[in-house]
Amino acid sequence: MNTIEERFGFALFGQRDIDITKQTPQLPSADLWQTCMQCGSCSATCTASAAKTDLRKAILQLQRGLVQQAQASVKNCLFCGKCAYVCPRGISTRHIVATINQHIVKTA
Amino acid sequence: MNKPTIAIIGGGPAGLGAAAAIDTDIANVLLFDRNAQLGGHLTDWHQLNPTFTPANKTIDYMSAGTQNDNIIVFQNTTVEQLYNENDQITLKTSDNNTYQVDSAIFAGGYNTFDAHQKEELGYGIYKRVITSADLEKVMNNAQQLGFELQQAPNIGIVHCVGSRDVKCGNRYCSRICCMVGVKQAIELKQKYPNANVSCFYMDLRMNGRGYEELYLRAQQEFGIKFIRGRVSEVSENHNKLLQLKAEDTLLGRPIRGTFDLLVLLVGMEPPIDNPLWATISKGNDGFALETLGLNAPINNKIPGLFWAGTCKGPSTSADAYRDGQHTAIESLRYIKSKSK
Repeated sequence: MNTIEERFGFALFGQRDIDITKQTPQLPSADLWQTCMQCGSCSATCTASAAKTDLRKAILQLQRGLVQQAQASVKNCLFCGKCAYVCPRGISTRHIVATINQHIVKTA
Repeated sequence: MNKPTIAIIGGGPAGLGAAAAIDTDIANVLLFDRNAQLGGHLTDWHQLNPTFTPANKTIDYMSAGTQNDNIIVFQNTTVEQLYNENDQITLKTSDNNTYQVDSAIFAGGYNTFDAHQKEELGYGIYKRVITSADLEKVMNNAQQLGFELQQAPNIGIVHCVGSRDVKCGNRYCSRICCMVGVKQAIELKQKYPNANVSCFYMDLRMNGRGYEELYLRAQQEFGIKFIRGRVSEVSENHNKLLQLKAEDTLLGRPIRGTFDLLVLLVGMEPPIDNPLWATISKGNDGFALETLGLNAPINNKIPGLFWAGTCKGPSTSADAYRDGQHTAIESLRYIKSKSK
């Protein structure tokens, strides 16, 4: 009987909606991922997808300013580079993962 | 045999294309336009996609063919009645004149969707909600916004307003709005460089030459955001700014935001208010049937009457112009077959 839900029979949820017009913390290198059109080729070919790696989602999270969530989406990336091979927009996918990881090191 | 006469009803791109294609050594042309200026909807437009060609330049090019002694242009004239009697088509116009012609081409164009119908988007309720047609007039300096935009305005562009929407009876895709939206996003970004421009789309249908490339440029050079999700609700906050709700369907999370300006990309509708519309054979979508027999069976109630351009379904001005030319050839062929 530990969680709030178990103790009281209900729980309060955090705000789920994203305000896209507010200034959100963003990584400085937006030019790396702003051409992504969310086709999902990268995620479909991902070697680490079993480990919940999802680059498509990570890029979308970066576009919406959700840097923490983006970090979680790529933390098990193996850097195999298959995503870069299949990307139709020629996005340097490993560069994006490296930028996110660098951001973790900087903010840690 | 006397030189035949062809009437063209409508002075937009399709009508001008038909006028340009008719060799005036073979036939005389009567061109009727209900407006004071030739060009149809193009007269309200600022720039055309994807090349950003000024619309008035395009009108100049399209109407160059009407500068001919054998083409008589009737401006501010509506054709109110049209019927075929003994292989002669008779037209009655708003100024109570009657004309006898051998063949007629109806180029009645389209109506823009009335955005008031989508009440949840607040058009006509909140002044900061405008349509894409309104924005073209603003860009053209023919109309004022009526309010100031702050230094870094948040601008939203809503795709598919009055298209692909069973609720307003329009199941079809209006084809041009996606590209108009991307073009207007770029124009707004050029006018307000600090603006934060977001496009809310269901699908992006970049179905023309140079369109996909412009979409990429919009992302790459202008940093325009594309959000897959339809805007569900717009309201006004205490600062008289727009509060907007949508779903980011790719992320699976709701989106909200405070916007300074919302542009609704209105679709195309058949010209139902045209007095001749009842004489035209129509398909299930309400637009006129194809008269060239390419895609659909010809179902022509009045022999010698052809129709061209966007009254046959949404298309770009260039496509309408070319369709006008094709229809003119069909009309000439009809006259030739009749004289044998």
